[in-house]
Amino acid sequence: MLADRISPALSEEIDHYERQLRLRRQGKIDEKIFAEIRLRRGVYGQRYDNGQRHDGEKTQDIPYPSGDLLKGPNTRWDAPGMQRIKIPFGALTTAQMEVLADIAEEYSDAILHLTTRQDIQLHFVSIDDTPDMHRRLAAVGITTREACGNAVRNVTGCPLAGVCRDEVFDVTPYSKATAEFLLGHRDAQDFGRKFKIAFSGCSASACGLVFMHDMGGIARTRVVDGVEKRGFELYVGGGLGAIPHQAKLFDEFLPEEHLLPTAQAIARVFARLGEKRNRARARIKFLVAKLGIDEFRRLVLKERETLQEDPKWTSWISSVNDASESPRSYPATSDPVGPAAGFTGWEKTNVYGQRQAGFATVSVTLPLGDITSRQLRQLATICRRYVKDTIRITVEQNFLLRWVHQPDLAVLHRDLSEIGLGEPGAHSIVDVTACPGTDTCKLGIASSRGLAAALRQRLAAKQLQYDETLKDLRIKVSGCFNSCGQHHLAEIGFYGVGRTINGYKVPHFRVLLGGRWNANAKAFGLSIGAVPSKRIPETVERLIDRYLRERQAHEHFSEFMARIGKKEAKAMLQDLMIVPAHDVDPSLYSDWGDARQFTIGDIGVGECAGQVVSLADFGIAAAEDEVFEAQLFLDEDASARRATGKALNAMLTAAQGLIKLQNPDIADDPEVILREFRTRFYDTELFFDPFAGSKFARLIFQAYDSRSKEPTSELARQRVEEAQLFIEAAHACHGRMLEAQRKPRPASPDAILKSAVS
Amino acid sequence: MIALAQQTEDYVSPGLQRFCIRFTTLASTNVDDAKFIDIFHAWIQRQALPGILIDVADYRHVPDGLGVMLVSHDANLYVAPDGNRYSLTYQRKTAQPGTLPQRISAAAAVALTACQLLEREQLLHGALKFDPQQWAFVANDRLLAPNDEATFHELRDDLALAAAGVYGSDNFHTEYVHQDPRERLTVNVRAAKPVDVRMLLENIRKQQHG
Ligand code: SF4
Repeated sequence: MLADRISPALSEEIDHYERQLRLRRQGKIDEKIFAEIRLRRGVYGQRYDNGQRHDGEKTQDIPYPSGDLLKGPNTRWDAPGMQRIKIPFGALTTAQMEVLADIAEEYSDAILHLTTRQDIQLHFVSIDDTPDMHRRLAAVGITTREACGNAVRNVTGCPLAGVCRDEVFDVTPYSKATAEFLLGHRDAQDFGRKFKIAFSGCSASACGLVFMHDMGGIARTRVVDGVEKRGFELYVGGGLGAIPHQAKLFDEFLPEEHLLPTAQAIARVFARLGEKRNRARARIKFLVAKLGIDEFRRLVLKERETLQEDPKWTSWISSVNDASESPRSYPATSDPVGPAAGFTGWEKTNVYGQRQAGFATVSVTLPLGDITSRQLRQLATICRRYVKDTIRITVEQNFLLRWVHQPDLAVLHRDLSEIGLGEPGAHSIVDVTACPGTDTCKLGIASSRGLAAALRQRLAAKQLQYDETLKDLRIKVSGCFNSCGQHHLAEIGFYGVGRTINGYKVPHFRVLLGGRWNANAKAFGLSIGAVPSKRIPETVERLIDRYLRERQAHEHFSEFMARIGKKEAKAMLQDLMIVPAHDVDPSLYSDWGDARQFTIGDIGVGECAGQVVSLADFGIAAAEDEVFEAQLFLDEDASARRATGKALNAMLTAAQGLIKLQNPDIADDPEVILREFRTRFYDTELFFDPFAGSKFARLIFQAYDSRSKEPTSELARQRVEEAQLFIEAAHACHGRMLEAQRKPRPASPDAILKSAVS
Repeated sequence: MIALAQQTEDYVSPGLQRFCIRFTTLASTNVDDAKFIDIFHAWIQRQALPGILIDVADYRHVPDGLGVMLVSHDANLYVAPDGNRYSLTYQRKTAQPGTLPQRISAAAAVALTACQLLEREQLLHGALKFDPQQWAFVANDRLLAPNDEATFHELRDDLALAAAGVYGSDNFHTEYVHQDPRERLTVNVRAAKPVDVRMLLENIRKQQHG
C-alpha cells in the first residue's frame, strides 16, 4: 500500500493540499490564494494556460473543458502545467529514479527535465493528477513542498561534494541540515519572494554558484586553540534575474554551529523588512542593497541573539564526519572489457578522478537536461550495477554517478551507450544550458531550447568538446531576461528578445560576453547587442574561431574578449545584426523548432504608421548605441560616473523615441521627457510589461532620481543592465503599439492606446 | 479486484483511462523529422484531429526519445524513429466516456486518423506507410494496471472486443509482451491478414454508428 510508505506528516500535507484543490474547484478559495498554495507544492502554470495561443496566423481560444474555472489569476484550471520536484543538493536514489520515471510516463509526457538548480521538472501535467503524483513521490521520500512560491527553494550544493579533489570539506551534511531545518519552518513562510541557498566546497570552482544565491556558504576551516574548526564564508544578497547582483560577504568565517541559527535570523529579517508589495524589488538582494551589508549584518546578528535555543541547530553536527556514502565493495566487472567506440573521448570529458584513489565520478550527458522515463529506469538499473545510491544532479543539467570503480569505466560506458546515454561532452562547450523558454514557459520570448539544440549539434559536429583550449568555455541560454538559463554566468550567454522590423516580429538573442563560469560565478557578462535568433550559431562560430586564431598563450576566452574589447567584438557581429527584409530571408522571421511565423497579427503597415515607426525606431536604436557606450566606459575607462550618466541618457533617448509616436515635437529636456513619459506611457500603463507590470517603466525614474549620487562600479554596472532592460521594454512597447495600429482602426486615439495594452 | 473496465456508459467512466495505442510504419527512409513540427503546427491551425490541440514539443534531441510530440488536452501524440521505421503513439490522458472497449476503439480511431493524415501529407511525399496489421496497447497506469499476467488476463476480453471492432472480425490474436516488469503493461494485437488504415477506420466508423 502506498499509504504505508508515506510519513504521516507528508501524508497530512498532501491530504490538505487535495482538500484545498477541491475547495478551489467549488469556488470556496480565492484564486490568488490558491495560486500561492499550489506554487508552494511546486505546481506551476505553463505557456498557453490563459486559454489562448497564436497559431502563426491568428490567436485561437483553447476551449478547456473547465471553462472559466481558474487555478490562479488568468490561469485556466485544466490547462497543462508544470510540476517542479525539489531534489535537495541533487542527491537521488535508484528507487526515487524509478518512481520519477513512472510518474513522468503516467502523468506527464515521459520526459524529465533536470534544472540548473538540481530540481526535476515535468511538463504538461494536469492539476487534478498532482495529489496522486505527490503521494507516489512521498512514498520514496521526496516532497515537492516549497519547490516554488515565496519560500526557501531547493538547497543546492556541489555535486562533487565528498569526492572532490579541491574541496575544503564535504558540504553535503550542511546542505542537508539546512534544507531539512528550513523546510516548512515558521520563520521562512512570510517572504515577499523566493529565497535560494547554495553551498560550495571551495571558492575556485563553479559547482555551487554561491555568488548568485540569496544565501551561500563556501567551506572554510580555521584553527582555534590548536583545533581545526569547520565553518563557512557566508554570502547574502546574490541573484541573477533581470539584473544580476553579486552576493555580499556576510561573514568571513561562520562556525558550523552558527549556520542554522544565522540562516533562521536572516529569514526573520528578510520576512520582516523585505519588500512585499512590489515583487520586482522583493528579493533579499534589494533589502541588502537598501540597508547596506553592514546594517543588514547588524540586524541579523541582533536577531540571532533573540532566538530561542533550538536543539535542531546543532544535533546533526556530531555526525557530519560519518560517511554518508560508500562504494560497492568490489568492481562489477571481474574481466574488464575492451573499450567501446567513443570511449576515449567520453573518458576525457565525462570522467573525473575522485580524491579517493581508484574511484571516479561519471557524468551522464543529457542533451538540454532531458531524459525519457525509459532511459531513467534503465539508468537506475545501471546505477545499481556499478554504484550504490550515490547519484547527483548537476547544476549543468546532467547526472553524476559517484564512486565508480576505475576498472568498471569501459563497461559502464558501454552500458550507457546502449541506452543512448554514452555521449561525451559533459560540462564542455557543446553541453549548452537552456531554460525552458518558449517551449513551455509563460514568459519566454524566444526559443532557448531550440537554439541550444541547434548550437549543440553544430559545435559537436566540429568536435569542439575535445578542444582543450575551450575546456572552460560555457554557453548558456535564457528565453528572456529572467536568466533561468544563467546567461550572465557563461563566457558566452544569450537571452531572448523580440524586434519589430517592417511590421514583422523577429526573434533575437542578446549576446553577453565577459562572464566567468568558474570561481562560483564571480563575474557576470554584459550584452554587446542583439542578433537574430537563427544567426546565433554563426555568431558563436565567429567568436570562437577568432579566439582560437588570435589568442595568446594560456589566454582564457573572457580575457581574450576583454583584450580585444567590446567595440571590436560588436564590430565582428555587426553585419549579422542587420535583418534583411522578410521576402529576402523569411527563415529569420520564425524561431528554432517552430514553424509558426514569429509575428503576431496581419501585416499591413500604412504610410502614416511607417513614418512614426521610423521615428521610434530611430530613438530606440540611438539608445542602444548609448547603452553600449556606457558599457565601454565601464570596461575601458573604468569610469562609473560616465557609465551611469550614459545609461541614464540611453533610457531618456528610448523614452523620447516612444513619445515621438504621439508628440513628434518632444523637447530634449530630461524633465520634459520624464513628465511626458509618465503621462503618456506610465499612467496609461502602455509601457507596462504584461507580466512584470511597471517594473521596467520605473527604472527610468529611479535612475533619474539618483543621478547625483556618487556611483560605485557595482551601481554603474547595475545601471547599465537596467538601461538595457528599459530599452528592451521600449522595443516591446513599440511592438504592441504597432500591432494595435494594425487592428481595425479604432474610433479615437484613446481607443488605440487601450487596444495596445489589452 | 481492479476496476479496469466498468461496463457503464457514464460520461466519465471510471476504470483504466490512461493508455496508449501505437502503430508502426513499414521501413521508411528519407524522412526529415523536422517536417513533423511543421505538420503538427498545421494540424493545430486547422484542428485536424479530434481533441483540444494545444502545442508541439520537439524532443528530437533526446536520444532514443519521443521525436516530435503534438500535445493536446486529452492526449499526446508523438512520432519517433524506431529503427528504420517510425512509430506513432497516441497517449490518452483524460477520461473518456463509454466502456473500456469503446474507449480503446475511439483512441485507435484517432491514432489511425493521424496515420492517414501522415500517409497523405504532402510535406512527406508519401514516405510514410503505416502497417496496421499489428498495433500495441500500453496501459499507462501502474496503480490500476500493473504489468503482470494477471492484469493481462483481466484486460484480455475488453481488448479483444475493441480489436474486433477495429479489424471488423475475430481473425486476430493478442499477445502479452514479456519485458522488464517495471515497464508498462503492453499487449500486441495482430491481425491474421494484411489490412490498411482506411479499412480499419471504416470498420470503426461502422461499429460506432451501427
Ligand atoms: S529565463 Fe525567461 S523564458 Fe527562461 S524559464 Fe526563466 S522566465 Fe522563462
